[in-house]
Amino acid sequence: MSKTLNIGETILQSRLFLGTAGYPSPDALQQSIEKAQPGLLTVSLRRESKAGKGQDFWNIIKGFNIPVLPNTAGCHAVEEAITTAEMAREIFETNWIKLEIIGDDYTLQPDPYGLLEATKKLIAKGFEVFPYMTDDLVLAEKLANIGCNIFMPWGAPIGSGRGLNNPYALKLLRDRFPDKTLVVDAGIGAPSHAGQVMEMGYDAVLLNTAVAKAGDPAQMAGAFAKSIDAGHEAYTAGIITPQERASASTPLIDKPFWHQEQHQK
Amino acid sequence: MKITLNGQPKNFEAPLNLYDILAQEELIGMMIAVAHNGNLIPKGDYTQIFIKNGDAIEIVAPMQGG
Repeated sequence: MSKTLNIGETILQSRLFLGTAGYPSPDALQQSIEKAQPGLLTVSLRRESKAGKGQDFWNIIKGFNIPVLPNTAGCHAVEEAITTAEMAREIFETNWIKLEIIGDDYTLQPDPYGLLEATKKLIAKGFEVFPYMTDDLVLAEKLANIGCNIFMPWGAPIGSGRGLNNPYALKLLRDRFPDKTLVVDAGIGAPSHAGQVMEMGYDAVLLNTAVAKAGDPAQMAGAFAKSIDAGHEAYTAGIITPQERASASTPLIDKPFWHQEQHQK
Repeated sequence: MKITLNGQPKNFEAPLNLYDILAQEELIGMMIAVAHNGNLIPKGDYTQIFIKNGDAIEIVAPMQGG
């Protein structure tokens, strides 16, 4: 059982991937990172002005010496996402990109067609693409065919906290792609949701809102870290297969007043 | 000369290159990336990019993200 996770040649020290947005204060963000000890931190890009807001944020993040995964949040078009990815690579000096191309503004559902096209172009440009995707099996197959190593299906819409809308589809992805790195990204609300993901054999969980908007973000970050570790440990230990009928855990043979003939009827 | 800087129209005196704009915006040495008319410009090329009337420049920095 290993808590670490390899992405290419990088060894991540935890299977919790933590977003950095929406915390009540920079201190809350900092304390949450300290408590979660995440394997990576997701970051974004926004327009910079003379005020230099982005520099203050980066000073907090770089102090942790945790790998960062930049995203293309807010992109709706392929070319926009590609230029954003290139700008992220320039700034963060990483070829990792969390590719988000939004197809529907109400649910923030990713656009599978744009995602596929952009993934292909970014892989050709040398990126390691972490695609934020639906749990669609055919989309995953097409991504695999163009050389994508990592899938990040949603559990539920971003920020909804609903947990896993379709555990069947997520389990199917795990079963069909045993060698891919699978991460549930988005929709997680409670640590039990994250534990459920890891018990399915997923490699990691990416979450943000569930921690950032919790009553006590740092405490919640710690709770998620424990749940993700426990879920992964349980998966590697081998969870029993559920059955319809009862099966006594205490042996009955030689119990006092045992009448074998009665039980053989 | 009018250009669009981070989505807003802004006047600059010609001639100038991308580095000049970043200097006027006090962004030299900051952790930023720059796109000129939708194309990323690598850090080392700022002085090679000459700005024309109507050009669009996007300057971005690290921000919180999920």
